[in-house]
Amino acid sequence: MNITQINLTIAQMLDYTTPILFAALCGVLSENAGVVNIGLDGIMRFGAFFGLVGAFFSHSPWIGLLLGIAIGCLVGALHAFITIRWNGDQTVAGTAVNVIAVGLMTYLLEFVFSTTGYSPQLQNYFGAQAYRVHLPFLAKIPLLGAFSNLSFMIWLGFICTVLMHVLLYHTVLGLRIRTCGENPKAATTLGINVSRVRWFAVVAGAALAGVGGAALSISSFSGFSDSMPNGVGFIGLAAMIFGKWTPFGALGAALLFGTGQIVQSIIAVTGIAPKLAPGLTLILPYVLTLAVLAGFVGRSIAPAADGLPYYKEQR
Amino acid sequence: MSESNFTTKFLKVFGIDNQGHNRRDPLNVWVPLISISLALVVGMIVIAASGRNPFRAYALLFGDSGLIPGGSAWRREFAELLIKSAMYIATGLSVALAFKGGLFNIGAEGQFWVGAIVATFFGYWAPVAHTFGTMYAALGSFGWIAQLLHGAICIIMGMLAGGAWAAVAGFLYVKRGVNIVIGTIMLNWIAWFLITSWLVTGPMTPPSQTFTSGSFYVTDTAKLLRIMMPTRLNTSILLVLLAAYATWFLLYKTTIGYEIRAIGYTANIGMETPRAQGINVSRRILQLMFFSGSLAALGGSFFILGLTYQFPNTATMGYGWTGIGIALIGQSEPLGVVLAGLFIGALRTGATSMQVANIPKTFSNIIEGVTVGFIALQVAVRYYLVKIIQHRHSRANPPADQEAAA
Repeated sequence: MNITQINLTIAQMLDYTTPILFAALCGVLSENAGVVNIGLDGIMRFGAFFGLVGAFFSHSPWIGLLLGIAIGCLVGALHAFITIRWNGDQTVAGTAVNVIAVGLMTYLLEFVFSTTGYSPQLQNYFGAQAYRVHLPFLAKIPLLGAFSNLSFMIWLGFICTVLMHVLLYHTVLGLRIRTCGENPKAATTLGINVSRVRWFAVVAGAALAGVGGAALSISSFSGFSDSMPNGVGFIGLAAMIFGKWTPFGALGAALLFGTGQIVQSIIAVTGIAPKLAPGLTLILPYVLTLAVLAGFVGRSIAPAADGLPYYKEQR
Repeated sequence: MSESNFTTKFLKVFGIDNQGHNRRDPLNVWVPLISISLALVVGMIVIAASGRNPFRAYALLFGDSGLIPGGSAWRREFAELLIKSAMYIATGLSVALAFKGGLFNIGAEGQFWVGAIVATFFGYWAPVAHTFGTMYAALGSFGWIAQLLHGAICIIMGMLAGGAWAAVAGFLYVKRGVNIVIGTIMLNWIAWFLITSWLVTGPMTPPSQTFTSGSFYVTDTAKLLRIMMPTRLNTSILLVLLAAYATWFLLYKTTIGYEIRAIGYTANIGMETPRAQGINVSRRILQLMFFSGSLAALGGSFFILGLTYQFPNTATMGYGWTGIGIALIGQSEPLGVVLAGLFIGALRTGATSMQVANIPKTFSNIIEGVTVGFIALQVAVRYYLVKIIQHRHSRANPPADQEAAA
């Protein structure tokens, strides 16, 4: 395995990481404000399809990205309406989003493109050479060379992670968001409008999940397949927990799980342990997450008011 | 002022704030019915918005759902409806039972597939399959005894395995405090990838076949008996009705059931009361998860022993997720789950025919999902229902009476 191959593998791993990272960031923002969003797998499916539709008809992935963000906000607003306005059960609402996404995207795929299973392939997508971020000065350096020619979406993921960290830990809004997730009653006594903060966190988070979906269909791949996102949203959920509900933790976990996803192809290229069953590498994210939650590998604890509807003036 | 009194009275009568804990609440019946109706309307809007005829689509959907007798294909459709419903009712019961104990078992999906793979294994595994094969031959015209026994062993082993799989999540919850929703989601995917990417592509596949062929086929003695020739209808629907009755009996006629419900009532305020009563909460939660998982696994064994006879490579997830919807529509009562399961089974059966009108069969997912969405919104649905009732009441009785009553 030479330098070029290693660089290609790293680049491929980052490609797998990006959708997981966006899903995890959605979870981080929303759950730090106290709203569980199990529907992020469904939101990604929305984002993946609408991202493709935008990119396909406008011949520009930028429009696709915008449409992915828009649909993410819309579905997020639906989730917020059910869980914040009417204090509905957050897990039930998320399940509804997931089930609707399965049915509606297949329906729209048939309606828009008259195909089943796969959409037509895109020519202009973020994975295409014209849309990559070229950093030629990195190309000669081992390992860093992998970063010389990456999709725009991957860099966007890194930027969002940093922005999210700044937002949550270095701004007033971030402090308010975390207060709403830890102790909404205390937040209310300080004059914070809990439902408004939660609305912001859920809708902004869902926009990120929409971007994550678009990253699948217009960056990692050049089309939408009916099996998308194939559980990536749930890996994102796992990454969020494994990363202990923090942005950089989520990044680390997403990188680890992204590696887990392509271990299979690494094994195929290098010929290490050809007998290793693929199922055993695919379950890695979930087993690690359970281990962390159970406290076998450093304990991970959710925000105190995570998943609880907030009734103002309830004693 | 009198109006607010009136509202409180209604809220009290209908038990608005206790989220379905009052079993005698008439809104418990109205909320799912209204949610389904609204979802059907949303479905019509979706079809109409895409430029198709919603009435033709719904005529196909309900005409071929097996619900309406008559027509040449009705027997076949009715059989399909019952076969599908049996699996959905099983996962629905699984989720509903856990709900009664205050647990959200989102892992019915994983438990379903664990039950399926274990039932497959005992269906083809030579020592078992061979014994019953010889028994079948020896018994002659009483061969059905061997079939019953072999099927029963497959189902029971599947249920034990599914129950154990769910109990892992229960164990992590009571011993290590892992949230049951997260725990069961993770176990879902662990089960799914272990089965589809490892067992069914390696250890459980015939060596001569390619990796896309699925597992070994179960032997004839393991297959569920057919009860309505020439259709595929098998005993699964009878077994699942038995399971529904058993679930009802467990919940309302046994001490364990009473204790489970006591835990469920107090689940969101720390379960201190049942603990103070001397209920062993941890132990009951473990048992509850075991029962819940074994019900989902029952559905999994129906899938193998009644439909595919092997673990197919084309299996797709969805039975457990649908089970969540069914438990919610059925308001977690065994009878409600049976009715909701039959309805969803009918939708799924009819949706296959909608492909004639260029509507993919996953259309039924839209209706299911929207229904679940409205059930999540049940506080709003109840609020507006009470408003309507109140409005009609105040029109029937002039306001002066209200003033006097208040």
